[in-house]
Amino acid sequence: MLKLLKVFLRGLIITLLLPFIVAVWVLYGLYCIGLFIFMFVKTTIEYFKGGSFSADLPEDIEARRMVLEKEKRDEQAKEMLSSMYETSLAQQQANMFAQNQENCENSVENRDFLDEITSDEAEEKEDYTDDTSSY
Amino acid sequence: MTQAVINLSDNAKKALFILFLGIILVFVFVGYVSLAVQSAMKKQGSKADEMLQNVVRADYFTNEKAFMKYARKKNARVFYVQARLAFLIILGSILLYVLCCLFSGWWGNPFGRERGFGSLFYQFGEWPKEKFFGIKLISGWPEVVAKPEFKLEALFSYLFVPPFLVGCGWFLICTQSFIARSLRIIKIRNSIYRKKLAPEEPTSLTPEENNN
Repeated sequence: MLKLLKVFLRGLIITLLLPFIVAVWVLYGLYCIGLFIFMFVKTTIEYFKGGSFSADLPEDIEARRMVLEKEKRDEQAKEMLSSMYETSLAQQQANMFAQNQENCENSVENRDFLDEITSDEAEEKEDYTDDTSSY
Repeated sequence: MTQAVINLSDNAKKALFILFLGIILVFVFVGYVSLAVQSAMKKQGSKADEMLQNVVRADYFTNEKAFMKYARKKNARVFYVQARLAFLIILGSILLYVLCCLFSGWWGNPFGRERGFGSLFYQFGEWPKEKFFGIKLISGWPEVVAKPEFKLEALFSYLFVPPFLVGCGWFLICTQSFIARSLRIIKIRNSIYRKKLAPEEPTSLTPEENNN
């Protein structure tokens, strides 16, 4: 209901302003007729001079070139960033691999050391059991 | 204190109610039509975004004046491209009419009833009117004066009027599109070159952060 009231009020305002709107439209229409004739004469002269008509202006062509360049630069920057990221990632992976290898070596050494300790302990235990069983 | 008493007959009450309802319906209809025109103009105005996007993205113009000059020029070119066919239709139909008139020797009104396009429509007499509170208001339907009739002598008018009206309508739509683009260009200019002091969107900072 509120929406309908809004539309009604809008219609009322538009109806009151309609003569002005129509006047502006007609004036613009007359201006457009003049503009069309001017453009027609201009393009005809250009045509007879050997040129061709296009909706694009020289500024458009230049701007399009600038945008393309900008896009290319952005793409290059993106590629560079991604390659930098990839190299840093590879470096990181290599570092991690080296670190892992070092850890593994350390762990092997530790295991050997531990094995030695455990074998000594076992021997000691066996000696002890032999001693106790003789009693 | 004087008190005005208005005695209305049942018919007058009915007429008053219908008149009131009719006025409301007309205003609502005009409101909906204006909404439709507004949305159509928004769509037409989006063409300005399309035609200016390269220049804006490349930051080609550093000052407002040069941007507006370029935008007006570009708008005129787009209008010319759009209106070419409409103008050609109008010009062609006028040429056809002039040629037909030269051949037949009849230089009358092509929209008229006798030998014009009007012969294809119903023709009504005057609207009957009655006095209502001192104002003359329409009180019924008018009489049918003439029924639609195909006249061979009006053939030139039948050939001329439809393309002419189509061309005129097309040209008016092109004009409306031109106005819509002009309005959109002004909006784009304001958004690019006229910075407002107050932020348009609220910042993400909380009041505490703002105080700090």
